[in-house]
Amino acid sequence: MARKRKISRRSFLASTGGGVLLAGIGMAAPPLARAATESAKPTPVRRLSIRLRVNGKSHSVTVDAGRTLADVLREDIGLTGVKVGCNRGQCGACTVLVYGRPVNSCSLFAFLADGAAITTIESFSDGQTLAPLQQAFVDHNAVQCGFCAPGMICAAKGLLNSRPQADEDQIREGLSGNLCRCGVYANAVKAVRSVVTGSGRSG
Amino acid sequence: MARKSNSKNQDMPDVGVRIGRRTPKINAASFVTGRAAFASDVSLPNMAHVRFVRSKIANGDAVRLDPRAASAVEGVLAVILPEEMDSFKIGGALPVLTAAPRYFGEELAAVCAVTDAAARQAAASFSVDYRTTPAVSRLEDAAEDLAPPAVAKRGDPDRALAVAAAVFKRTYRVPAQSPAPLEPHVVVAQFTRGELTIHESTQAPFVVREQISRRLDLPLERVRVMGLPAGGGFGSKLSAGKHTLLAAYLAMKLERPVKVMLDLGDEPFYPGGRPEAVVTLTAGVDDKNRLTALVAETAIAAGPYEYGVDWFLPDEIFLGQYACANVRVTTRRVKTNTPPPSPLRGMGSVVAAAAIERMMDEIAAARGVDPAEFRLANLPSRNPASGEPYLTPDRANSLAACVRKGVEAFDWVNARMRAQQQNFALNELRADVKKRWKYQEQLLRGVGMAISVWDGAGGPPAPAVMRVFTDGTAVIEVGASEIGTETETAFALIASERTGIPPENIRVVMGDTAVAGYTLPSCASRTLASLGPAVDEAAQHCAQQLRELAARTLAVNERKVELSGGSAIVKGKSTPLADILRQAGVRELTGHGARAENPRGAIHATTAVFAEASVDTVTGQVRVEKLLAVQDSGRVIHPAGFENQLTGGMAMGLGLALFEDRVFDPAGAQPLNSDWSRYRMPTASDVPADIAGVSAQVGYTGNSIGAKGVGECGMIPAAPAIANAVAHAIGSFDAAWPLSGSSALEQIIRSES
Repeated sequence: MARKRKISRRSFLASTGGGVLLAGIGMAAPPLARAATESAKPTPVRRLSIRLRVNGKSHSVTVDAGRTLADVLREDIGLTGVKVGCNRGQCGACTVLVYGRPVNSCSLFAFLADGAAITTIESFSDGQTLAPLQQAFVDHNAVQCGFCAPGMICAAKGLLNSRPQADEDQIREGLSGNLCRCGVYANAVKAVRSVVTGSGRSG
Repeated sequence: MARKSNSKNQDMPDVGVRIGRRTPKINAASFVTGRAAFASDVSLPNMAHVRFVRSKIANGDAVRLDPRAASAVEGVLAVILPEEMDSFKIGGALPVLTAAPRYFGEELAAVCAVTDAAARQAAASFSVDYRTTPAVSRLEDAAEDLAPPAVAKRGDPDRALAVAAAVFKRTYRVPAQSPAPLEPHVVVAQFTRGELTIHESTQAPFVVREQISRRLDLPLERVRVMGLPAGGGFGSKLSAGKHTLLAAYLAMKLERPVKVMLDLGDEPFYPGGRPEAVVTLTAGVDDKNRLTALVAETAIAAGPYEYGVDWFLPDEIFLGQYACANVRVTTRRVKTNTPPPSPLRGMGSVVAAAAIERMMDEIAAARGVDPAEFRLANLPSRNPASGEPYLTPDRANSLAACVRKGVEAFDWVNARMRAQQQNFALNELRADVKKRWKYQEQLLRGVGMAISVWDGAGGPPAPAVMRVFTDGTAVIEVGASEIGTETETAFALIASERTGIPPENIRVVMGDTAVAGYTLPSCASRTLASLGPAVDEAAQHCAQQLRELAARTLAVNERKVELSGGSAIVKGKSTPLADILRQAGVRELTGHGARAENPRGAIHATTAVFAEASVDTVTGQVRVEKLLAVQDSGRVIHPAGFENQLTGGMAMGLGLALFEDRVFDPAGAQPLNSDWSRYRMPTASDVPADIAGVSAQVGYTGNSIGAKGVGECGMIPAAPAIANAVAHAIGSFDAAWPLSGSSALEQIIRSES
């Protein structure tokens, strides 16, 4: 994981070619050539107009180039279900789905997600009934302080998108990027497993 | 009071209509949907942001603090240098900002800007020149004490050691552990119309209110602290921090809302957690294997300031767990250039249990007795420190019940034997050099246990108010904040039991100093035991009024009225409470409750943890395969929450035994693993599926709901139980913590040569 605060935006972009981050999640690289050829001197913060497709709705936002997707989702679009714990891709609280795959939104520049389809915890439930994963987390008591829950549920959703029949070990691995200091792991694994097996409330 | 409580307690069966029934956390849906607002989610119009400038040396002086570059950053509103905050000290000892840093990462200055990005940029562009003085990070290098040694004593341990049948002496290092709550320390302060409002992620709203009022010279009535649901605290959010003071100060100075949200770049230095401790334990037993002497000499790396020096005293367990007539506990608080401590789950009892519980196993092994039997034989029948009987119904020590129940549930004797047989076979194969690499099974297995005592009594001040509204819904108002221990659910269940109002129709409002009465913080396994009886009393008060109203409205005798399912039931006929309240023209009923003093007598919540672990003979990796906590906290109010506290506590103990250690560079005292990829905490891959917390089902007569605390209890004996399982697996008590990896492997290799 790149520790982005130690790396200037310019060197970061130059070294990754901008698109590498997204190549892994199945996106076309956005146009970055200009950003990568900036001068090394401190320059005024570059502001970029981007379009984020969040939870099926399109948002046009103007962002500073250095802002993370987590910040933009939380502050500009008001989706505070995206939690920021460590702000460097180590705790998983900020996990959202980009094209259905789990991503630490604190470690992705917002402009790199230009045009991408993003899903956050806010879209899981219609406001009346909980989604199966959410209901399973409630039923299996996988919520103590609850701060990790949105990210962990997004990680679980991402896992099940690629492995709908995930077994217990795969679930453990799929959730292992999401820290929970309250230690609800065993219940969280059971909750996800119950969704896989369809055992629902009793599972 | 004691007698009254006793009779009340006997009225209440262990499982009521609501109490003791399995219910999910009442507001869980708000967390899984992301709707729950934490302090970190608070955003106010015109809000400014603060970032700290942190020391890059561990000891010395910032001889030049040049704010010019920082001030020039666009959007900067204020640069705060140490002089400006000179009159503020945390706990009378910690400077908010200092030009004489005493640990790496200490706050030198702060910048406030219109955006967080600008604040970060300004903090990073701060220019600082240092003069470095040698720094000490390790206990073994430290010489100076922050306070005179704390000594507690009974009997004559030196004489008892001299005449003991066998004497054991060992030194244990207990690594420093970080609280690492997922939600960072965060505050939003707003000053409007002469009133200061603090939105904080805190365990202690009333403590924060007092500290802020005192330091900013505002009357208490002008300070409102709203302790929003905290995304974990584990002890580290028990007072107004530097961030709180600075936010409050700047909100008043700049007359705009100010947010300070720390992140992982700040957190390693900010709440220091439980510091490194080294315990040298000397124990003597007589020829009947009774513990006759215990001498504990502990040194704690207490940081650079006289701050929190008494937090980690290990006395409670050393003095109160075993029936040993001769005990001396000496604790040094040594000055080190490491972050000042913060409270952390289990406090000094974690240190004490880490030592005594490993020594108990070593003595049992040396004396050829079963570790569980050895412990049972050494349990006191009264509190060994005070001589008072325990407040269980039969006045006996509930630790014995915990151990016995665990021995049975874990199939302790057979599990130990199976592991030994399997290890014997594996060691035979491993001894044959030609075969060992062909042999697939390379896991040594072990089974261990440990026990602990913790106060868990709770107590006043803890008032509660319950309001029943005309539509039949209700609110409970209590002053403690909700930190993930699910006390809100327990309170709703208690109130539901008394009033018949379904828990989903009861909202629990917590942690707002403008709403509820003064209450001690949510810490030390005390929230439920303190506030539960108060909520019970408030709910009874409401129930009485509801019964009277129902009797009047329905023209029946009050005794005929049963409250259930949100209705008043008379002779099988059910009338919704809303109808009764409306007919009676009552807009709101109010019930009050207050926690009474605890009765005289010894109160402790007791725990036995049983663990099974495997150790890879090639890598030294330790895996915990199974964990069981048997707990006496009296009556279980909210079973799912009770279990979560035990299993979550054990997970944290697992981290301490296997992975967690804050490592400093010995020369410069710079932290070497200050983020969460290098400070290894347990993940979903580490905590076993086979993990459980069960009640020992011993009653308790000390308060009206019959419940004691549970929050710390799984944590304290978990780490030594796992260590004992590892020692059982590898056949050596020498492995240092953290165990997993090189530490366990070293002992395996040593045992081969």
